[in-house]
Amino acid sequence: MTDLHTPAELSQTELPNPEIDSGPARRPWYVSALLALTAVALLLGAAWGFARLKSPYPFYGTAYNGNTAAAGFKGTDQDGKPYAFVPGQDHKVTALFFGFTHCPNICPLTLAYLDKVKAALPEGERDRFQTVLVSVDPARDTPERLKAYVEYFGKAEGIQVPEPALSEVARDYGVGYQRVEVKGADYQMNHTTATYLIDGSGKLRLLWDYTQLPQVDRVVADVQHVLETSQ
Amino acid sequence: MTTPTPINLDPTLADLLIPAPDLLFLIPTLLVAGYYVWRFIVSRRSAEGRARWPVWRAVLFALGMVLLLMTTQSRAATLTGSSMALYMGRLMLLAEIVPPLLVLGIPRGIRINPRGAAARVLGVLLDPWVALAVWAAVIIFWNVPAGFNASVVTNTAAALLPALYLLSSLLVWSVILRPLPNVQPAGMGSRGGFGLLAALPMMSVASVWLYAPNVLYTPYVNALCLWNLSPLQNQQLSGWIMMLAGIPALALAFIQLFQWLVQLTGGDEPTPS
Repeated sequence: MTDLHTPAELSQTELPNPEIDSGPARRPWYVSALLALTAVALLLGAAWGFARLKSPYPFYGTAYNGNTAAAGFKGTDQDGKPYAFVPGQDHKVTALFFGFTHCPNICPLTLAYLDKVKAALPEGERDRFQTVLVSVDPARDTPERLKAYVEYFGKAEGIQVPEPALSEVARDYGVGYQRVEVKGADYQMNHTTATYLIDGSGKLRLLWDYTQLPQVDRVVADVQHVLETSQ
Repeated sequence: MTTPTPINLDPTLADLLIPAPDLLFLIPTLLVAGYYVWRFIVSRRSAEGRARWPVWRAVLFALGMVLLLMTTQSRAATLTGSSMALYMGRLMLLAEIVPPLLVLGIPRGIRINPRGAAARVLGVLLDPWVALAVWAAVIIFWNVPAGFNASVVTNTAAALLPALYLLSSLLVWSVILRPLPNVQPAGMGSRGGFGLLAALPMMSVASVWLYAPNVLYTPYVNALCLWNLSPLQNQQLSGWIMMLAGIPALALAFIQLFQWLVQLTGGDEPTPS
């Protein structure tokens, strides 16, 4: 027997019942409160279960699905030498982000925090972790400028990728960037501020927003887990 | 292997509405829509059915479904990570526009066997305490800055939050509009009071977005802003969107409360002849 009936389907003997129309009796408030608590517990439990299904490890950053490929690219490094990024090469774990050297806050902070992360790793694992900055402002970010920048704020690879290859790399990572004119000053770049963690097998594992990086301990825990699970 | 979605920083409305199917949302939506259409056609066979299921209800339901498909099956859904205003606009459509349209689309006079499983489940879900607690949990847990660093928040927001907003708001609007009288306790005053309480969590979060002097971005919404809005502008715009979206529910709650007051004072009694 189905539970739902529209009135048109009811027989003549099943006339509307005024008692039913006025609604069922109210539950005692404490029963309703208990049901409410149970519903919230079930909701949060289901969200936790979903998160663990997506990634058994409770990453601080936002985890990708397990099969997301990181794209390789070519450019010029801060020493002016040709550079080819091959995801997972030598089983290295890479923190990749897109920025520019005229960036007033987010990019230098990102570099500084990633440097702290590297310093906090056990010595044996430090060499397997690298930071790569891809400039979204190749017109101004010459290799010389990139070299001074990445060495001032930490230790990273600063890569200049000329257009149109840069837009293809950005597209591959879901990154956006846009030139913004500033009155009375040089232009700025509006850009995606995420840092992408690529594991030793070349897969995108997670991303951190720049607002998450100050919690270095939790970022280190994410990196260590990825280092351990992508030998 | 899959690759991330590219970003267009200056999308037009046409760009935002390019279809981008999300089967997890699409299949249940089409099943519900199909069931509704079938029952509506059946109801046309009798005069009583036509009276209890007028065309305007079907039109509202269809409008709700179209908006639901636009917000979940278009490029706008994939771009919400690049604009907090777009993200909030989409969630507000799912929470404050689509649910009342769908609930108003439900025909009057649906009878549910009070002893059946459906009545028992609906009786619990549409208990005002349960609906309010679930709604408040969704709004607060995923939107208050203190929770942003929780792994479970960052890793479920993109996938679960649109569905959670829709479903929890359907519960809230069902309590307010009472489409299933034989499983829902009556009382205009309690519905008005409930509506007022249900509006508070969202209005509080909207105030945080609107008046915070600093950018309080969620980790799952990038600081990059579409249409060249600054992050703070984007955040304040999100607060406005959230606040404006909550006003109809708040207004309805006040109307219900005043209606209850009128009933209480006997103001609706017929004039003696």
